[in-house]
This record gives sequence, structure tokens and C-alpha cells, in this order.
Amino acid sequence: MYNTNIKNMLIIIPAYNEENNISITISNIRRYYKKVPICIINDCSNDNTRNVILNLNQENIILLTHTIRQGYGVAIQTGYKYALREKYDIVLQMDADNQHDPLFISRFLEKMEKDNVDVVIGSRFLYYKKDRNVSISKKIAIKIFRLLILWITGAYISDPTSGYQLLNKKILKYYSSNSFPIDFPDANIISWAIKKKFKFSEIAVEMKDRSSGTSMHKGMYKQIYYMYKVMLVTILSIFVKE
Amino acid sequence: MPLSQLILLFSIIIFSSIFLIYYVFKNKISTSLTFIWFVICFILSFISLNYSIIIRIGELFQATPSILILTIIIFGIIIFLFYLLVKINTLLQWNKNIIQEIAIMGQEKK
Repeated sequence: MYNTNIKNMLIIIPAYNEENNISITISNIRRYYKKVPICIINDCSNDNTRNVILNLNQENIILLTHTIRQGYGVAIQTGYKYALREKYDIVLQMDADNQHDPLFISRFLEKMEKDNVDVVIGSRFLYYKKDRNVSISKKIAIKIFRLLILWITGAYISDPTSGYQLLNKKILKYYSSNSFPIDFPDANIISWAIKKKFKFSEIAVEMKDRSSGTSMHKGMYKQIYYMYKVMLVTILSIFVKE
Repeated sequence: MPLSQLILLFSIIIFSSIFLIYYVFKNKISTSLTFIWFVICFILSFISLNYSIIIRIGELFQATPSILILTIIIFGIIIFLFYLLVKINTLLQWNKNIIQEIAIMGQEKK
């Protein structure tokens, strides 16, 4: 169990229809961090997610429930706003589908302290020698986003779609504004933030396969829309004044 | 279809697209609207391959007294539409912020 640098950290987990995964995700975190507060943002799930969370035999769990479904971006932003309201200094965001291993949290903290950055992104591409667990369409999307960020900002982010991130208070304030994307905060928000002089760094993390439930990017229309939207907003960051 | 009418149609699409991108950049309009707009543009260009539809659109434009007045009216409508879209987006942002506020206020702790 680790206790260094976690004094004022909040773990936020956006969840939508994750009744089968959420308890495993929380139990895994508790294996390493017994007392760190975990804030779950239930984005109006229509399954049993809320009851599963409330019936967990765990302490320091905060449940925020959206009365109307708002999407991933808004859910994660609710977590940021809560963290700022409760005066947390750092926030670790992770997915509810048990893909992110909490074993790496201490490395996130070390990296943020060592590099003195605002955001540390967990990259699966620095961990695996080959792009394992990633579909061809996602691989192409990531490569395009990577190149766009590199072209616009000059920064190399190997995994711009990773939801496993550690953020400090400074960036939380920026992400809590109305300009934060409501559905897909990926390469677009990274590109805008780098142009606004926020510092980013990456660490290698292992990402597992989703054990059950469906991904938010499932379906051809959603994938086309996702690509279009993220690319458009990323390209628009060219005009952001530094 | 006369050239002036084609230019009008083309300039409406370009004008609206520039407006949309500008408002998205300023974060006053949701990016989703640009997606809907470009899908409409795509469908328009697709149906314009059908010559009979082009003729019908041409007839519709020829019914007006002057292409200049029509241009002013259409551009006026576009500007008004954008004004409405910005207002709707502001309302949606309020709605989002209220839902977030309710979630934080109604937090359940264990």
C-alpha cells in the first residue's frame, strides 16, 4: 500500500451502465489505497450502477448522480468541479470499466513531482512493444491525433485518447470552464491546453481489456462523429493565442 | 440553373460554414451543429447531381423579383439563425451547469 503524496488526492470515475465493472474497479483501487476518497459520477445510468455503489462495503466513496444523461465529458467535468469545490490539490481520473490498473497510481504521482507538470497521461503505447488491445480504427485515429498535436503544438503525446490521467489544481480550473468538450475530451482538449502553456507528461501503463459492458465509441456512426469532432476542434486550436 | 443562382447557393454554404467555424472556435455553438451542417451540405451536393432537382431549385429562385433582394433576405435569415443558435447554446450550457450543480449538491457519501 502506498501513502506518499496522496494526502490531498481525489480519484474520479465517470460511470454509465457499469453495474458489472464498478465494484471490481473500486476493490482494485482499495487493494493499494485504503483511504483515498473515490468520487464516482453516475451519468444517469439506467442499470443498477447506483445501487451497486451504495451497497459496496467500502469507505470514503462519494457518489454524484446526473439527473439527465450528459455524456462522458460533462461527467468527468462534474468530478473536476467537485474536486475544486472540496479543495483537492490533485485528481486522478480513471475509467469505470476496470481497464486501468491502480498499481500505476504511485508512478503518476512520482512523474508529476519529478517533471513538475500539470497533467500526467497514462500511455499504453509506452508500455507495450506492440499496439496490443487496440482495434485498427482506433489505431488509425490515435495516429492522426498524435500527428495533429505534434504539428500544431510541437509536443509528442503517444496516447492522446487515454482516460487514465493525473491532473493538478491549475489545469482543473481550466478544464472546469464552459469551453471543456461535453462528449469527447481527447486530443482536442490536450492541444488547446498545450497552446495555453499547460505542461504534459506521460508514463507507461498497462491497459486491460474491458471485461463486460459496451464502449462509448461502439458503432460506425459514433466513430465517424467522434473522429470528425475531435479533429475539427484540434485543428481549431491553431488559432488559440499562446 | 443560371450562374448567379449557383454562386448564390455556393456563397450561402461558404458563408454559413465560416460563421459556424468561427462560433465553434469562440465556443458559442456546439461542434455537433457543424456536423449536422456539413451532412446537409453533403446531401445538397449529392442531390444536385440530379438535374431535375437543380431545375426546380432554379425555378424557385426565378420566382423572386431580384437576385440581390433574395441574397439579402437569405443572408439575414442565416444571421438570425446563428443568433438563435448561440442563445440555444447558452441555454444548454446553463442546463449542463445546473445538472452538475444538482449532482454535487446531492452527493451521497459512504
